[in-house]
Amino acid sequence: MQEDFIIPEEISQLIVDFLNGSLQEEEIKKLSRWIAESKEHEKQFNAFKAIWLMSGKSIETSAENSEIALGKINQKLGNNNIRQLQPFWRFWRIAASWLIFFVIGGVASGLFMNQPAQVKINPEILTKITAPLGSISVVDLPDGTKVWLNAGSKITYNDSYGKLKREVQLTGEAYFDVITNKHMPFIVETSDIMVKALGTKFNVKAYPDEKTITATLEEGKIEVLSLLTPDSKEPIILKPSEMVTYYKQDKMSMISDKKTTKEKPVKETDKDDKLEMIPNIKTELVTSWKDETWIIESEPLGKLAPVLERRFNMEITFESDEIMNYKFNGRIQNETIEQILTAIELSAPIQYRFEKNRIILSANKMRKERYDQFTN
Amino acid sequence: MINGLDFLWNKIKLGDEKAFNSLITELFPCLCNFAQRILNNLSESEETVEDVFIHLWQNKERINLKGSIKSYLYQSVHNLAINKLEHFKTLKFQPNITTSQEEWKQIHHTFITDDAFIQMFEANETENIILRAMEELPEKCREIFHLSRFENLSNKEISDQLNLSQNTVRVQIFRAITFLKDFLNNTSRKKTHSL
Repeated sequence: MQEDFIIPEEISQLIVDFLNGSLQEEEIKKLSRWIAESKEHEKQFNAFKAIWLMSGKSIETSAENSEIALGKINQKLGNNNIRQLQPFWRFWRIAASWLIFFVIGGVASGLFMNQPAQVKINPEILTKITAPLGSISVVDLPDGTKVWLNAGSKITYNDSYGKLKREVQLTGEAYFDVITNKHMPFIVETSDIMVKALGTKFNVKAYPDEKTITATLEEGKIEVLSLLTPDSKEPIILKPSEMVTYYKQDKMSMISDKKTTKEKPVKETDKDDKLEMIPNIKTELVTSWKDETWIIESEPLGKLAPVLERRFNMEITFESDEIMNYKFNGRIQNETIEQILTAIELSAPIQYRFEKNRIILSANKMRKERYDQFTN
Repeated sequence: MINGLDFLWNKIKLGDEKAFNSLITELFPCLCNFAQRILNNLSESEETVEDVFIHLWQNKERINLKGSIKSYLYQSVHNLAINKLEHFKTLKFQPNITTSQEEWKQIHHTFITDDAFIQMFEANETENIILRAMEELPEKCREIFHLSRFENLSNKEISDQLNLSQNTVRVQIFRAITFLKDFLNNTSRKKTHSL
């Protein structure tokens, strides 16, 4: 093997484009010609491809999925007498798992796409409610509990809700006004934490693309538990105006966030549970998204942008990182995105422009100099 | 060398349905994992693997293996996944492949999933080695590779997001892959296979 084989820069760029699917049509021929040139080229190319495949995200297919697949394969091969091998009940079990999910009031696909491993065999009816991007939905649950769903968020619950238990699953952000029922706690489950309440008002924010999950209490009492915490551990109990932040830490983000996780304000002793309690929160800053007047206070633009993206269903791109740190205060009522952007433009050396469906924010150099004079 | 799986294959060729079911149970998870890394979509991946097994059963009399049954199945999953990739709508940044379609396919199909590759792919330590290697990448390089490989962003999207030129993005991704490749080779040199 030629260890020192050097790949010309032009080719190396084509390989990268090929691997991440950005290869332009006219370049396909060029790369294919290079690979065909010699055995060594082919070998080099295959080595890069192998690394690319090996470094991908690995997915565990559960034994249950294997069994479902086994059933499906044999079912499709129905012409062969292979079916006789299948015990009768297995067919029903498999059929049940595919048929008996009713999905009401939302997008039907996608619910199980990400987590097929969690498809339960026992039949139950799931209700799924999604607030589309760009709007907030208000939902009344069967027991009278009221839920405000922020843009792009969804909750699901099954048909035993309100009968045996009160459990909902949340992706995204929601504000709950829970009807009191001392015998049946109300439980919100997110990807990493669980919030338990008897009768209260609280906000949970658990967007999959954000690094933290937060639960904020406005009234009453809630208990917060990380799903990874062992049973023996006591949950964190929140009093009004307190907030709990959970730091997500999957394998990959641990690597890319190495620096930030080191700096996060969790004490060394708390390393195992990644829950952090913050007292004296102005809860209206957390919950006002659901109201007519949405209040923001010293919110850095970098954090504000994703909120605006969801609320207005627009994509926001930063042309320079420094402007992400400018902080903003304000009250937003029925303003349009243009009005908000104009306000941002007026109060900081930032300019915006639209490109297709995107908003591009960039630094306004001329005004920055004047701005710096004022602030210093 | 005949191992357990090849023994099963011999029985499958004679129409043994039980052996066929055992083969599926044994290989379904690892083949799905492999397909997933090409397609980046679990349900598509599972379907691909199912189709490969169906094809295997339907053609069992005609298939004559040169290598092991396992490498045959890996190669089949690879090829079928590539064919699907072509029609995949979610592959948003693969531009209209029309005239160069044949070449595009050809590039994809040059890849051979032989026993050495499979052994390395399936080894638990490979994943750990790669994770370890990624930790050693310079920060910017790691971030770019992460966005490309795990967030599925195109070069253009990464360059927009990080405010870098597309060329810088390409160079950094290439650097990352080269580094991972060398790291993996050095770590497993003592063990037999190198890429």
